[in-house]
Amino acid sequence: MTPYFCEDPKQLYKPQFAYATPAGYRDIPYEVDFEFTIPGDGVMVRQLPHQLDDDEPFLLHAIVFPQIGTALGVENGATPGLCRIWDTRGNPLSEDLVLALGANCQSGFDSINGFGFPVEPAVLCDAGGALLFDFQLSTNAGVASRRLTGSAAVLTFYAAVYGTAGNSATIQLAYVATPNHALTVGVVGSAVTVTLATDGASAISSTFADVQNAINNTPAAFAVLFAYATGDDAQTELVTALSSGALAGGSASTPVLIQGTLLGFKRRKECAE
Amino acid sequence: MIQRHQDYLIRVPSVPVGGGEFSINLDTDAPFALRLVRSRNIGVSGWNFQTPRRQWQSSKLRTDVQAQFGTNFRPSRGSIIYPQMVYPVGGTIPILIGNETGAPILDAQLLFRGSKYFEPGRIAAPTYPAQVSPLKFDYQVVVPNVGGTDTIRFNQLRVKKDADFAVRFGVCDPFTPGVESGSPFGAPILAGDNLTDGPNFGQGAGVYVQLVDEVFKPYSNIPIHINDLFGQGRPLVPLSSGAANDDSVLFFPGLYTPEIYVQREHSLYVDVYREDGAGAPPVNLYFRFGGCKAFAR
Repeated sequence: MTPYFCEDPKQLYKPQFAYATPAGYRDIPYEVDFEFTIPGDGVMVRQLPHQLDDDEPFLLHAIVFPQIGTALGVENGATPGLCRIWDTRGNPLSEDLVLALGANCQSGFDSINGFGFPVEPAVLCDAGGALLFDFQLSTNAGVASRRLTGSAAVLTFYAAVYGTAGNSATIQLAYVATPNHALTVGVVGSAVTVTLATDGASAISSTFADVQNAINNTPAAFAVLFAYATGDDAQTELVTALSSGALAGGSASTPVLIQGTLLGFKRRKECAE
Repeated sequence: MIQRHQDYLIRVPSVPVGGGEFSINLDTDAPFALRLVRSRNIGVSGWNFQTPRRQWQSSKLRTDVQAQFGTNFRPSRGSIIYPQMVYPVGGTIPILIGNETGAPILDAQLLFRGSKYFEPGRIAAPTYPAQVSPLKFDYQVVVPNVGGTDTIRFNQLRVKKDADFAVRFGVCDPFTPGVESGSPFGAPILAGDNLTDGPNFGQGAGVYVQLVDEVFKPYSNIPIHINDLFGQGRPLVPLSSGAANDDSVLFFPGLYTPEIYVQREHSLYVDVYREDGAGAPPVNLYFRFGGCKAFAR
């Protein structure tokens, strides 16, 4: 008798209780914690092993990766990344590295999937075998940015590169008090100047969204920085002039500690009577 | 009977103040078993629909939102219809959509999710070999550089020749890993996102997708919002104003029930339609199809 099972192929819906423990075996709940420290520079890291206990096979039912959850987004501290897992027999569990969220895990943030992302069907891992992990984390290097805040809209300018190099970019929203001035974008080196549009009374007529689109649709400016308008009134609220200033906050990457937990069962062979 | 995943979506360009009555015409190839209804852009204005017996399903307009302590409400993943309601071939689902907002509701959507029932032999319905070894597996399909108004059809999930693949859920995100000293613009945030996020991870705002099988038979009447068909890539917090944000739901992958079984060396296609406007930056869409490989023994 082997600890491996063969499903009923006609049973398309398979709740967990459909996976009966084979006769002569007992499944004992067991959790396996693992951790890796890998660079946070966005480069792929391959074949990181985590060896399992050599006493009994392990039936993998779920995975939690609290440290690479993407629920909070980049700015809020989470580190989204791609992942591929290989079982103990060298079978990849995905065609390529896939975004860890959804395919392999969820963060546990806000009690979301706090019990782990299900591995369905469960993967039987050989006693003493090693699971292999490939990771590619989005870099945690800081992106330099600058923000213009309105009453119900925000315009954020992000540097075109991760890291400290983005701190040299500057942005200015210039107001020229002439009637019917067109919205224009000028670039000199890493300095981007947007001259705001005006109406017939020389008042500013450019909205947050107008400025976003003007910058992002000007290749020379897009090569320096990127504009992102948010807020309920981003399409309608008019911007104000912004003096020339550098983006700030660009920083170098640091190593990332990835911690996770495998949830499942040890499949123990019953002693003979 | 052969079951096949099916979505019917109605998109109403403008619901007048006070609401209106609309209808969905069902396909003429098979009956439809309704199992879930999900609204978008309707919020607490409410909706109602008729059962196969031509009775309204609720006495008044109902919603699929959840009351949440501390906020007005939070959208759900839809209202489950149990037991299922089976509509006849070529039937019609009359629908009421309310509007208590004082202004027209634009692009009101009501999604009816369920399954078609086919007589045996009517459609190709491959299934598991008599003896099978299953292995959890995820396929990925990347649709790069999707512009703000692009239509990119027949993006192919090609199942490898080693095993069949049962598609059980799908997830999609416009995300590309950032590399230090590289550009953070690999996949800028989609227009319409209302969080202040970093530039590499975004939310499907105006992306609609349609699953199509190998003989180009679609799994929905029209393209479905990406967050409804492929789940919510990342939960958003409710808007502080309490306004409807149909994407501020907790994470949940897009489940396909019943699963979609694709034989080895066969394909499933995804059509992508983006409606974020010409000014929206291009994105790379990462589709992950989760399920299990089925190795014949």
